[in-house]
Amino acid sequence: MYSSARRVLLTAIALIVVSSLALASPSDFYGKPVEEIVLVPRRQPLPVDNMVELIGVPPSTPLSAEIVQGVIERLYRSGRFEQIQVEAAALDSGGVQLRIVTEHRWFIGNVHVEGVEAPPNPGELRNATKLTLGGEFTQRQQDAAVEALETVLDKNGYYGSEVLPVHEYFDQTQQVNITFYVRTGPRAKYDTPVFVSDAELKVNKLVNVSNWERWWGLFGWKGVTESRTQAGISNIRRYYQKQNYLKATVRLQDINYSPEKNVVNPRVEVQPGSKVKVVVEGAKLSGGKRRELIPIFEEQSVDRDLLVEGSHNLEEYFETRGYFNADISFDSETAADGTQEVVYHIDPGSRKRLVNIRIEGNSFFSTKDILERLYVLPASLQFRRGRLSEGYLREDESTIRSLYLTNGFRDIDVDYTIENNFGGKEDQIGLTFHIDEGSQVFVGSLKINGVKPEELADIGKMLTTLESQPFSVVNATADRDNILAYFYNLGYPNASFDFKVLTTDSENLVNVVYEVNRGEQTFVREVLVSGLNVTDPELVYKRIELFQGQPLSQNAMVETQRRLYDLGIFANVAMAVQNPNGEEKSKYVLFQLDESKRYSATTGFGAELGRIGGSSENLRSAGGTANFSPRVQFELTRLNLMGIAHSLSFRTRVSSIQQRVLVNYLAPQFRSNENLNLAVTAVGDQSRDVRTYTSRRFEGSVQLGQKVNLARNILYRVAWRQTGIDESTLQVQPSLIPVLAQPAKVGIISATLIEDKRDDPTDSTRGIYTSLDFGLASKALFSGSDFGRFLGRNSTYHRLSSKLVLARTTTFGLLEPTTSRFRDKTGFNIPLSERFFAGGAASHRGFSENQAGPRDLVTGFPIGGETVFVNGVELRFPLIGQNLGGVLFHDAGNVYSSLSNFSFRVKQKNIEDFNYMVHAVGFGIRYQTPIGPFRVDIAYALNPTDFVGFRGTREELIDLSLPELLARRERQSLGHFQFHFSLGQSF
Amino acid sequence: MRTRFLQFVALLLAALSVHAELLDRIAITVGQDVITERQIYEQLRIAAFLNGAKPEFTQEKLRETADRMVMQRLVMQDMRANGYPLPTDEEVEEALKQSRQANWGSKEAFLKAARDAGLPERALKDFLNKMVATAKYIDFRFRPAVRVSDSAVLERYQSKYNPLDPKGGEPPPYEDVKQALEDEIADEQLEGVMDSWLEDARARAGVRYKPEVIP
Repeated sequence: MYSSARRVLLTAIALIVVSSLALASPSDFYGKPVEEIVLVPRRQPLPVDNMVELIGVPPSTPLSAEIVQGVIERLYRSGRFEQIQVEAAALDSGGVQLRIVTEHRWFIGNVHVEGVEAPPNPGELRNATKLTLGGEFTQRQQDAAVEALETVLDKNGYYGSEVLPVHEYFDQTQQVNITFYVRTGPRAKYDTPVFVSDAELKVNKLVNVSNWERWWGLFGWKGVTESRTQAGISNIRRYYQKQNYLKATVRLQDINYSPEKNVVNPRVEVQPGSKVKVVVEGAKLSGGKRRELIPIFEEQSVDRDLLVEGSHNLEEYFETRGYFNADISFDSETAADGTQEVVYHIDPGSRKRLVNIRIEGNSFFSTKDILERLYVLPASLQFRRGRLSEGYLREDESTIRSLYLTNGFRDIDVDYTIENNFGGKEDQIGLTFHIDEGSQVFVGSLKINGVKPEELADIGKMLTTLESQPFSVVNATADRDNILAYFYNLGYPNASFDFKVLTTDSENLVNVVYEVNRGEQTFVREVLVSGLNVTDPELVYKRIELFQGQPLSQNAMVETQRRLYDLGIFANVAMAVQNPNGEEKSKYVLFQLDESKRYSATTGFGAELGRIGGSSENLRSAGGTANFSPRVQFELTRLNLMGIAHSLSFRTRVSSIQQRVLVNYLAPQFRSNENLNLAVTAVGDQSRDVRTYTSRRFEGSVQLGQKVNLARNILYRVAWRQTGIDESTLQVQPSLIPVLAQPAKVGIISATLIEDKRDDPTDSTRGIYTSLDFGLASKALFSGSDFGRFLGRNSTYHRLSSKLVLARTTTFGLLEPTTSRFRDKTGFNIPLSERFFAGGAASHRGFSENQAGPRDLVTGFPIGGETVFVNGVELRFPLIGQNLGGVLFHDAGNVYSSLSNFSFRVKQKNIEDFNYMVHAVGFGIRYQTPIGPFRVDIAYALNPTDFVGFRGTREELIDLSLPELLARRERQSLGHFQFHFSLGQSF
Repeated sequence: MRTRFLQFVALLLAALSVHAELLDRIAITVGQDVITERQIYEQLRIAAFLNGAKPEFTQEKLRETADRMVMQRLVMQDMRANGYPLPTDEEVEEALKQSRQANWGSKEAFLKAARDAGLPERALKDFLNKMVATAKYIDFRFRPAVRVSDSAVLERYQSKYNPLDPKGGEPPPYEDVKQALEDEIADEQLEGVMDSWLEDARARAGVRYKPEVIP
């Protein structure tokens, strides 16, 4: 046994000696056939067929240095390897075994920073790491990320924080998720700042304006945050500027941290420079305009370039105000006390009006076509002096040139002249654009190379360059963008495009050649989603439009991102392709999701102003008096319930005329269908929006919303409600109080079709809006009354010219009892709370809020009707400048007691007749704000409603005998004038 | 026990006997390009050969060669990306001819020396191709930007040939040395522009040295 082992040992030693002697250098392997290829480790990050293709060494290939080099280069280009080492071993057959030893690369996956109380918020911290999703991960990057985090934390008062990166590696996908755990101490606070150099101004004041103290120092100092530090420096700088130190430089030199006290003493370096006084002579210019137009205020520097720029800005400003010949000059002097005085001398010249704009030399485009594209405008109601300046003229020249260029006029030349004393009047000027069109160039032939015949049909549809059509580089550029987008979406991320324009024998004809180089197609290897903590992954995966093995389409990526955002539960949806520069056939697509906070709370304040007031005791003002009703709203929402994107909201609204509590459960994209949503709502509401009574309503409803297409939606709804009317508030004749005060129980099933084809829902200028609502209240739905309900609205918007919009809206509603059950019990067809009320800012403006239609014959308060018809027509136009517009409107209609009483009659027969059509004309002003136009409307009712009112209190109404009641009746009127304030257009 | 130990040692040695020989590995990455260890050694040997010197495989020489190869790779990448003209075969042949004549006289002597040094003609041509490409690139890309003003030349003349310098002796006439001074300043400017470009290009490409090859 011993001798046998010894023999084996000796043999092995002999083998080593022989082999090491035989194979002393790599060159000894070159020329020998490669018979085996071994991969170390065996499990490689690329699919086998891909690895074989990249290695690219067929069996028996004689080995050479170039072959080895090629293997390394091809594998490295895949982007999947950090190191590739090629080794060789001799085989008994005389061939070579090639061993490819690889070290895999890692890619950045989910990056999280935990343990920091905002600010900085998690997003800011993650951005600070500069670790890009899908990018290569290296130790150096991580070290830089830790350093960056420490810097950000320091800047936010978390000094000496410990940052510990923890990795989660996924071998199969080579992805590494990195969580930076941060341990911070308490946030440092500011302490007295040190002002370096001569601050010129009082230090106490500077400390005060820095806003680093809590309550002006009464409660010590605020906690350090980066934004607070920056804001403090900016505040100090601004303060210097206000004191005319326009050249002042204020800089945070450093921020001294005292660990013992956990405070910082910012060292602020201030170079006040000399005072600069800006004087404007010859014209009035407000301080705000000076700061806006003269850049030395913004740039904190005074040099000639900035002063010249200020001069140009002033010139432009005065031109836009009608001083087209304004002459601006400046000089700058330093006074004995060191103050620099900059004086702008403005000679505005006489104020003029641009009264005429002419276009000359145009034949291809009509003058109208050109004029409507121009920024300069002749004098009008909107621009009393016209709109003209050097800047506008330059823009318009360029607009005309571009218009011609895109239509094949390569030699287009545009110029303009200004004619003073136009029409012989000194204050008038005329403007003429001179156009030299040159010849038009057409496309003789278009050839597209590098495209398959079956792709040509798709591409053809998107081309703007067409044979026999005008040629323009702009069109070719648009074609390039479309063609490249087409190939990107087919998974060709490196597609490139070039085009050539070839001259022909004809001067007006060119041949165009598009060269498309599609490059290699990339496919989806797998979609990796990270960042899901509470969300059901299934919810996300169902919305992914990218599938394994399919071409990696950019459109599909963007569409997936949109669908995920549409769920409303993600604050951020980041997407990337892993290993973006690697030349591999199929790639991982990454989606990193940040779930939104699970609770959101909002508070809102508002007010209503209108004829909504009037004493509830004294009944003399049945038509309402002007009043103001402040409003507070609060909403608390729990998002992403059970991780399936459902939400539960609690909303309250409290005002002097309404108190409401609403609980809503919303299931968007119901049953994974993007076009369905389900809402379950419970409402408790007490309101006095109809002045006749105060109602208490409790309602529960289930609504299924269906999005049919982009413009059309259908809502299916079942609702149960009980509306109780507070008897003590009911302002009707005493005999009706017990009947009308009965609680109304309504169970109703309804469907609403909404079709919205408006260009802008908040301020439409063209399009159509239609809504049709059908409902049926029935005993079968536990309703106390049976009736059918229809309410339809149709609005159209037409742009009459670039400035004028004609808008029209028609509303028609009908309530029809289907049985006599309720009538038999109460004597009325429809419960009071279910009837139509109309009038107000969004309805008929000849009435104040809900004042249209039938009224109580004793008190004169509105009691609603069974039919409503309102038609409104508006002419919308600009008034002054860009933001102020006006409307002229005509509203007609009323609320009618029943359909049979509907009438177009304009004359009220008597004061107990309400079934006639009230017409109102009026004027309104619209001021554009970021949230829609602010609206003021003043309406004049041509035939306002007169009615019988009651002179006395509610107690008197109840207590008086019938003859006494009749004696207290008096004639009242809603009056001709109504005013309305609101946000948004009326329709 | 002893038998088992001997068997273990025998197997270990047997395993070592089929130990594979390292052929090549990545030494530097320049963006998506790689420079391998073998390429660096080959470059070093070629450079020494063309200079008629013996190659020195010291750490310093390896690093120096690696740096030069990185620069050449960046130049080639930029030339390809921006469509700069690459050297023609004639230009490379001319460079080879000049090198041959300088050190070996005849083509035969040159080829024999290359064979003896284990350097294939392909590798030599490739080396010269990169040298010529780099020179052309510098001429195209950077030289046009170099401008030497008369005042700069005069200033250099005055500082270099200071008449107050007791050791300086009699300064040469300005016109005699003007061109040389202008070339000197131009070279300095060129070097500065190139250094700045190189620094920027290295950062953009993400040049990484593998510490196991280039420590």
